[in-house]
Amino acid sequence: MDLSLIIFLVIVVAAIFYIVSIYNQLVTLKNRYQNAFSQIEVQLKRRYDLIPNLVETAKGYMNHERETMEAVINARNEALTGLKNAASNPSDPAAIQQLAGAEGALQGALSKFNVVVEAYPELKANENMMQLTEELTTTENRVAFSRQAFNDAVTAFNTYRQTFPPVFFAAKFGHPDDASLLEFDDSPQIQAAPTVSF
Amino acid sequence: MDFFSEQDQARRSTKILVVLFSIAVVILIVLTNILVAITLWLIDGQMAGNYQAYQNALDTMAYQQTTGFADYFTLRRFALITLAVTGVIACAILFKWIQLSGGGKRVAEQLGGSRIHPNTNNVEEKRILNVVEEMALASSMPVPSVYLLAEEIGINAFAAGTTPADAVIGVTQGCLDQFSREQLQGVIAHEFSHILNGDMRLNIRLIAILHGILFIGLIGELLLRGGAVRSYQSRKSSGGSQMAILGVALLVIGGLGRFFGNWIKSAVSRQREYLADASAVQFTRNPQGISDALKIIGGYLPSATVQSTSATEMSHLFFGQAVSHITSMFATHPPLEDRISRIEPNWDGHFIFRELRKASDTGGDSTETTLSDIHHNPLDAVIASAVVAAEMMPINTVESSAEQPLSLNSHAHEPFSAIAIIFNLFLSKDVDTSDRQFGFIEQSGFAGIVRQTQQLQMAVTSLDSSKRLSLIELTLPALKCISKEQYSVFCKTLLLLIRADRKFELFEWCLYQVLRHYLDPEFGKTKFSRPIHKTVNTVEQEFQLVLSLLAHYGSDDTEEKQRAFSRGANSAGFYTLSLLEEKQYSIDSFISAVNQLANCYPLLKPRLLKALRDCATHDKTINTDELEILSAIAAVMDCPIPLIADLQ
Repeated sequence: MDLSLIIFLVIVVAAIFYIVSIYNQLVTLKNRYQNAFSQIEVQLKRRYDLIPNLVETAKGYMNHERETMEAVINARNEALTGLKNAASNPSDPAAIQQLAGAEGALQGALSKFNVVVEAYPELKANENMMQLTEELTTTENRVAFSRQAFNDAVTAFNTYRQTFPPVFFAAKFGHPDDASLLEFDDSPQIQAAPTVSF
Repeated sequence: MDFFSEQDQARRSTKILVVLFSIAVVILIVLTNILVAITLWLIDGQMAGNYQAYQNALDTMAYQQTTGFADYFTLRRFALITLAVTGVIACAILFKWIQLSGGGKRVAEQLGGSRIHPNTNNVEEKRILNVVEEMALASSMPVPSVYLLAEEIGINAFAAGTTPADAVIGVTQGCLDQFSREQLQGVIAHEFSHILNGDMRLNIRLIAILHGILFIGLIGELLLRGGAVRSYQSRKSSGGSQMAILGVALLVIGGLGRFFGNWIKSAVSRQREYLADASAVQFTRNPQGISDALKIIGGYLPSATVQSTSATEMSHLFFGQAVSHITSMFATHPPLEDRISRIEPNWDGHFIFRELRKASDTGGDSTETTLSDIHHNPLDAVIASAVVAAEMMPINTVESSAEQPLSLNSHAHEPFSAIAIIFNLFLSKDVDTSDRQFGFIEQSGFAGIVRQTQQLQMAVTSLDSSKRLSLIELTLPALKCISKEQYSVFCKTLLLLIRADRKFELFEWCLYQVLRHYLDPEFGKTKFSRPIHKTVNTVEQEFQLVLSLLAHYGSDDTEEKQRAFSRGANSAGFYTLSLLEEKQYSIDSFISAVNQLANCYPLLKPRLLKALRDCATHDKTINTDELEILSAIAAVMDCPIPLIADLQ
């Protein structure tokens, strides 16, 4: 066989392998960010499950704060329905909006609750309460970290999609658009200082 | 800190260093080849030459060769020599590689770590487990198990394992005592970066290759000794002195190679630390956490030292410099000052001073700010921490004396009592049988297990039967912590308990299968299934039997049973099957039928399981019997059962 033909064939095979690897990389990155999204859902759910326990434990110590506790529970139930709606219909912006709003309300109710707990030293020292607080802290962190991981994964996908040479192939391989970053609309809640009322 | 560009820079530097390292290794191997070839040429020539030439050779070495070097060196001969020499070195490298890549678990145990129980009640241990899980989320990685080096007071942490799947993370007691939650996050995120970036793998490779180079020197030493002995014994023997010279040359090569190799390896290791620090900031988005952690190590007397004897070998795995080096050239970690100022460019150069004692859990954060405010005056810091310590004392004693009665839930979280709980589930109500069963339990050899089982007997037997499965689920994490030997004894005892009444009851079998299904993978036992059945038609009879049994357990009403059965049969694609009568099958035939179903091709299994589920949920409710049978069938078929969660 002709030498130049062999070289040509080798180059063609290498190019095919390269293009296949681009395709695979795109799919991998896409799956990664989609998985990251489902993690957020899991963590939110976990938090909603924890809150009733927290309130149950606190009940014995703070009978006079019924209002605060009811607010927490109501906000939690609202957020849970919001999550269910959003999970069954993730592409619906209205559902995400509702979830984000409920999340913000729950955040507010919880921080108020935490301020109230400060006033009950024996409740704070309760072993159950300590464990629950630790659980809640870690869950809050998990929610934040899973959001962040989702955004990182989306960034990695977008960056890869826009670089040369994948940019030529991405659209043909079924990834015509950038994935969008997740931004919950909770900035008003972040900016607002928690109000304290006794 | 712009962590992305920092990461890029560290990655680039690593690449350059690794290329350098590879070039050095290639040069070394080529050099060795040439040396061996020259020696062989000298020996060969000398045997071919006459005695005179030999005498000259001893005197001058630069004697007239009967054949020229170029003639002697045919390509073929050189290729052979290269193959042999490179092969020997490759074997040495491979040997070390296999020796080192034993998985993270082993490394952690070698360092004296013990696994932190997933359901620990200790608040500090719980916190570190939570932090590890958080960081796993942030870095999108599987959650590794966590080991505690309880004897070490130095502040350090490590990651070990070559792949994310077998990676573990270890922390010292000092780390738990001194760090707040945010600092722990920084440290753990740093370790996750080591796992994510494959630093363990890189390091093991470098070490293995270095071992190959060391091996060259070792051969040199052997040759030198052997050559010297031989030439001493008989001056006439050929090649002795050449061998000795080759030995010296190889020793020099080995020595030089080791020196430069170690140097480059340490430089690589330092770059990976910068990379990990930058990634830690990426994962936590909180530079303060990790920089404070580094500052505390700097201001803490035992620093990051790890006492364990294996620490030298593993020093590159750690968060801080675990073993001190005399020169910074071979240090596996960059100086703390450099690391801190990379994370925090405006750092004022002060460390955070810490005393050798437990920081408080609750007051930890406030203590820290006081200390960092006054850190430029060490005396003040000492006084302040002494005050804190005095305040802490009574609280600690109160905590330890307060003991609460344990419920069944907390028993399920202890490996020992978890075993007792499982034994209880298999105890017979019949007095004779249960006596015999207690005999078997005693034979199992777990110390005090009989007493423990009896203590829990009331609590377990009074439990509603619908709670059995969830109780088993609760004990699983604890049971995963027992050793492999204990596990095999545990399984044997369970089988004895099941057979004690000389009957094979369906529910005993179900519970046993579920247990094995979840625990076997943890102890490295995999189930072999031979896919035999490609289509549903070949397992028609077996399926009919299993479905019938399920239908009979689902309801008491004959018509209901019939309807449930045909619902399941239809959803599997059989439209002509009829419900078997209860006397048409036995438990044994049911078990062998399920085993046959397990031999289906993987894609068939979900379809069959779905059909069984449809049968069970026909009446819109699923009772305990149905649930246990379904779980067991799914376990035997080695299929996940996502349906359980939906059903309850």
